[in-house]
Amino acid sequence: MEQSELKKCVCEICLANCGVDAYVQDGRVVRVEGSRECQNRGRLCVKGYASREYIYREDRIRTPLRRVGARGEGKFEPISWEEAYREIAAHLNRYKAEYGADSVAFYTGYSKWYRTMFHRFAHSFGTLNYGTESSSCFQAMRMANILCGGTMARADIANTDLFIGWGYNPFYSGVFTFDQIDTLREKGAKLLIVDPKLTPTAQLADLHLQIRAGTDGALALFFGNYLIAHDAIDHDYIARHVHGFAEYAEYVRQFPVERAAEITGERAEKLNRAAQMLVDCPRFCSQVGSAPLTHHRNGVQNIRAVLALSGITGNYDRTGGNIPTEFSDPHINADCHVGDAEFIARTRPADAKPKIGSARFPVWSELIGEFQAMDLSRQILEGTPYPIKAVFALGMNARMFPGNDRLFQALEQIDFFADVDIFMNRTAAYADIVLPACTSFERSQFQSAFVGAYMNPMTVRYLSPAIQPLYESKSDADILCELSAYLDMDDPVLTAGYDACASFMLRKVGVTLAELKSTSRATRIPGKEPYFPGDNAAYGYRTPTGKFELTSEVLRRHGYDALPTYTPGEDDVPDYPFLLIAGGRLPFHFHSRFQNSGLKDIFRPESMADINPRDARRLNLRQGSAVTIETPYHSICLKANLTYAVAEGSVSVYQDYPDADVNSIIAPDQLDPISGFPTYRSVRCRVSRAAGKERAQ
Amino acid sequence: MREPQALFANFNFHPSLCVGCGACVTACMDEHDAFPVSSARTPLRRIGEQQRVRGGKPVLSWYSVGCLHCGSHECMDVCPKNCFSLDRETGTVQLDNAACIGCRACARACRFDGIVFWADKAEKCDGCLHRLRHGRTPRCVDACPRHAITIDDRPAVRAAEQEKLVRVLAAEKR
Repeated sequence: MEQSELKKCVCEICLANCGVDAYVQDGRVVRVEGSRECQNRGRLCVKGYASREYIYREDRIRTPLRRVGARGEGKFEPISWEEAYREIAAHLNRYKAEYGADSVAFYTGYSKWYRTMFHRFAHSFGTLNYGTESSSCFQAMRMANILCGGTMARADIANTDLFIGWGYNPFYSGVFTFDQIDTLREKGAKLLIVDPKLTPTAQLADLHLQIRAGTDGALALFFGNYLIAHDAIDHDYIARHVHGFAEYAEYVRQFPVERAAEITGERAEKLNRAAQMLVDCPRFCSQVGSAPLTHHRNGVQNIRAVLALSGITGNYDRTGGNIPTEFSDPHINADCHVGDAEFIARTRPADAKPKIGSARFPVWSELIGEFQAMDLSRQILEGTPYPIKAVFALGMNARMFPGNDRLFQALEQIDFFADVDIFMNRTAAYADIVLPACTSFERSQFQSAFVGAYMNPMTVRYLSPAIQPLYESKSDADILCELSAYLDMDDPVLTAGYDACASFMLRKVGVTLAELKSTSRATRIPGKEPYFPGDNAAYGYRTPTGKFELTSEVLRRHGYDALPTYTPGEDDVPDYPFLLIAGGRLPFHFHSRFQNSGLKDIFRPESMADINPRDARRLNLRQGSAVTIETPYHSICLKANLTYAVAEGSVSVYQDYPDADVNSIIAPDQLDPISGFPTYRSVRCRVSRAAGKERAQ
Repeated sequence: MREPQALFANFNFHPSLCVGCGACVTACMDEHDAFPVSSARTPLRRIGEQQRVRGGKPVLSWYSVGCLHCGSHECMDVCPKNCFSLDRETGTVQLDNAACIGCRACARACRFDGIVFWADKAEKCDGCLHRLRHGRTPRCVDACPRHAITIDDRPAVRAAEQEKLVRVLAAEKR
């Protein structure tokens, strides 16, 4: 311990960007702790503490690789960086010459830190076809926020009297917010949790509404009805800042408590008690996570219905309510406006074709500067409206996609596929060229500190590598910069390297890169002030009407319901009585990054279907019994895990267990028409005891 | 500079605060060089979940187990090879498994599931002894987001919380 050297670092396993104190001895990380001066206040989560498992795992990709076997077979030969770059550049430039730059799709899964650069990279190549895993996470929630108030908004948990957490359980990953819950309760503020699952947070709540997954919108419309009926609304705010109130008030009358109870499956008495909490605590805020509410066919409208509650009570853009926050499009290493938007826009091609998915998801296409990746496999396979010949990806996890057999099929058929990743995984096994990326411990990074929780930090910092890159791996950013040179891109900033890009982004900040490099501490951005609640209201929201839109003029223009209407999240198929909830995240897993990690063996070694013990009794299932889950699309067989965490009538399965891949049984085209988001969390299914498998237990 | 005083480590676990996040497990593994994960080495600290139905209402609870360096030291009493000893300075129970014959008497005697076996040799939490001696808290204590694992010198609280955990673990075994 005594001989080790402390290096300031950042954990980039998820997006929270917790500060890490890495202790390094003889060029190896020997211990990791949370940085006390960072927003994670000295703590990390189960993943972060396992950083050494992450850095030194056996399945790290060691050298650039060229595929020698069939796609997906995983047979590769090592090649040099020079060869790899030349080969990728030759392919991409050839498709660009023959079919146009739009025939190449640029896609990124995890991580996020290089996304500003990758977005510009796609632009400089000549296409708008830049897509991310945010096609199924976060962006739909952002869209709902934009449609309502013109910008992202965050829940002001610290100053509220009633916190409503919709599908909210920070204890497993929200290192920034978990103790806000305890602080909130110590202050005497109320906690209302709406969650189909029984979670640690739900058990701490003053009231937990265990509603059917995907019915949040109906619940919110009932709350709206109750608030209006009890005159618990802000007439002055509505008159000055809200658009469409009369239509909304008329519509929510269709949601009396009886109907809400019927739709949500929660008792009317509890619904009334919850609604009364909103009346009794006029200052409330709603936290609508990135994924839980968006993974339904009615996702965007459900979130709009929730945000509408803040609108009609004046809790939008008010201290203790939902506060607009700057959230620049690339949302990566510069969460505040340090010039990243300009950095990307500078090389935006003027004559590019519409992004992938534009025809199917016009609202997405208008609001979000990324292609909707849920349409990627279709466009590769069908070649319409124009052909996609190549995919260049970083950290792609095809297993994440619903009906992922279709994307794997597309990756099998595509002319060229290159993937950059830290670990070898099933997606990378399809690539023609695989490039090894390094972890955050092995690279330098310019960051605006601590991105998590959609905060708007006013600091920037520069971190030097804690250790040398392992094997021949390189930083994603360096890979992009070096490849841009091989592609002969007309982009003097990108080709000049990472520091040049960071310097560009810092131009308007008033701190130079050299100054940042002199310390590992965060530097406050000169002149940057926190958002003052009420500012946007005073100057008008960035919506078509300049007001908080209960009836969205953008949606109306595109032919969708302008009101936050409720439609059932799933089809009513009588033969499929159970509701499958997938898409939840295990605390020790994140995207594809722990696919081959031993952590799973410790915490949850087998793929299991969480099922309520009462349902299990009816189906004659015991703990560990083999069950078949069958959707109209496909079926999987796995083991039953009897738990009261899921309500009766639901079954919950976590993704990324290769022997029972839940995403493979979710239809790829069952999507939210507004956002294009997959409906991971409301899929109709059958659950039955699998015959003849009992001996295997 | 004067050396900081060692902490006298009355380990405590408060089951009602645990949320089962697993941070204590991997923090412990990091401290004890248990990465990369090996199936042959059960982690010294582990988490579990328990479900009850109270008045028709399901209640989930979580717990983290590992040696609590409890006052009763059953492991020490039953070991035929005297592998266990009490560190007087910190109050922690230390294990030197060089002479361990794998009889598992200690594991049977321990009420807190504090002892695991790697290749038939007993292993257990050392209380982050080296940290305690530098006046620093053990890793699991630092890692817990809800302070469910503490160093606590209130004997009455300690005894009561130990009884709670014993009941939880006994229920799990049934």
